[in-house]
Amino acid sequence: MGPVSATRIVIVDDHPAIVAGVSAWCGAADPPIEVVDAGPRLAVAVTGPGRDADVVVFDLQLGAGAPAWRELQHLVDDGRRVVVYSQHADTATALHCLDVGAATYLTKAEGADHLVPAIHAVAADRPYTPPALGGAMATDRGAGRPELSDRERSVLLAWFESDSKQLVAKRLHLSVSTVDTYIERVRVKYAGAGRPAGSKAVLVARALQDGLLGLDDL
Amino acid sequence: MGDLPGELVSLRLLRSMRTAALLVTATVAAGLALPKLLAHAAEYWSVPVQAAVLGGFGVVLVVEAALARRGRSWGAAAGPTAVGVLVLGVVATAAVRPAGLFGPAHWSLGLVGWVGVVVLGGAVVATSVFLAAHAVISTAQVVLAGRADTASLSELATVLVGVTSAQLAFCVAGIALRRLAVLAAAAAAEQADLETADRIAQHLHADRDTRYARLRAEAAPLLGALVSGAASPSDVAVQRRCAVAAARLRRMFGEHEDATSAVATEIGALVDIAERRGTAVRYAVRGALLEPPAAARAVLVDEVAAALLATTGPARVTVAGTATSLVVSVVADGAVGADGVRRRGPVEVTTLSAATGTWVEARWDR
Repeated sequence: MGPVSATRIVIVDDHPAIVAGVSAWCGAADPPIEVVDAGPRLAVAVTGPGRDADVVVFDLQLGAGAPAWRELQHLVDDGRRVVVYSQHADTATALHCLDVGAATYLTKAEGADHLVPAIHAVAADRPYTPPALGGAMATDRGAGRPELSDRERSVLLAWFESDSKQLVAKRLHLSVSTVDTYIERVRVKYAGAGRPAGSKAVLVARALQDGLLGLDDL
Repeated sequence: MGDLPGELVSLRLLRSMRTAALLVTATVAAGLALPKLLAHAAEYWSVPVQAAVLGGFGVVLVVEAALARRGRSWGAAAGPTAVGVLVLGVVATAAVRPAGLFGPAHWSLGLVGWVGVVVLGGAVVATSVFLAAHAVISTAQVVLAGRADTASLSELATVLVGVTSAQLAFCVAGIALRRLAVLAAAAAAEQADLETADRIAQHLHADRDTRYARLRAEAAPLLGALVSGAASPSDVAVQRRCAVAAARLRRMFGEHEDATSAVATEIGALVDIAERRGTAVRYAVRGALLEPPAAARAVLVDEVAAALLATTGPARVTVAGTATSLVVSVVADGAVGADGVRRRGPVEVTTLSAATGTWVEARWDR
């Protein structure tokens, strides 16, 4: 069996401890994840070895001051797959990142369990919704939000509460794969709403192709 | 609500303006008109008529003084009274011999305008109409009295312009004052807002200072022990302590506005207690939280407390607010009761166990 090609990531974060921690998780990941570069500024993701990374793990809070929205926009416009990894735990920030075109949004509190699976999914252009993001979607009352069915909302809420697909499946009398499907559908609905972005279009197109949801669901 | 200070200031200014108008008119009446009336008695057709008109104006001023003291306005009577003043003016002018028209004897020409200002409260449009009517009628009366020559008319125009401009200026000053009043009120409101915000910010800062101090007290010894080697990172107990301290620090750094929801505050306190007992808690709040009634809130908090107290292992606590419900939930390992749904007053509690832990969810629907 030949070597499995590793997913390559670049970490944009201004805390060395975070970089060290994420690198450690990636080192233990299977399939392997290779950290090609890391640094506190956007340059590390657009120049040097970071330029070719499959996924950008991006801290929205680079230094003191306002969140790095312009940098995120730049990465999305460049066609990069961005996993936002942030200490901001508020709904508005998370959903705004999705609207801009980030692939997914993780709070630093859920990194240990969800960052590695998120990187794997995003590298394969598959949607990944960690529990806190699911909670943000389930409680979203902003204007312009997509229409969620009651079932989709309760799946998201249960996922947010339990962080366990087994518990969600048992509670709602569904299979784990059905739970996954519902969560993916909502993610694609969010990709189909709001401002246009290449990354979002890719998600939507793929979902339509796979029959995950139809055009009138968007 | 924000317009109320503006209205109050405006009212005060208006009252001062009223007093000013009254004083000016009274002074003109007593200090200018009355002496003129007495001095030029020969130039009138009828002195009693002149006196009666002046007396009529005096009555109007007295009524205005009484109204002003009570803070009431002329209301619907302003129009008819103004017309009455105009009529009185016509009568007074008619009682002046042609030779004395718009001369020193013609005291009513200026006073009518001031009484009009007093009655109409300085309202620009109404007062302008009144003064224009007065000017037109006076001119007509002068022409009818036979003094239609150019010299007379230009002299009349000068006199009219002279008195009317002062009266109009008074009204314009009123507009400017009202605008100033609005600006002053807005500035006062803004200052009050800033002071409140400042006090709140100071309070929050003091609050944060105490929390930082407490966290420093917890984290600093742990960090010191790690650095000195007294605590080993491979020790599970040390790892747990680090996880708890890290979660608390992370939550503190991630807070933007402090939660104003009573439920979130109380559950946050429970999480705090659990963490100080060494339980690692992952706590997340999402959505705009409704405020349930106190009874429901007590049940929600109670369920979380029971689940948290029953566990020593890691726990996940969430609070989620949708448009119609508030849901709190704890996933932990620790026996809290049998699986199933039970009803505690307005709150529905669902318990579910699986290999990963026991999940207790308490839900309040509006």
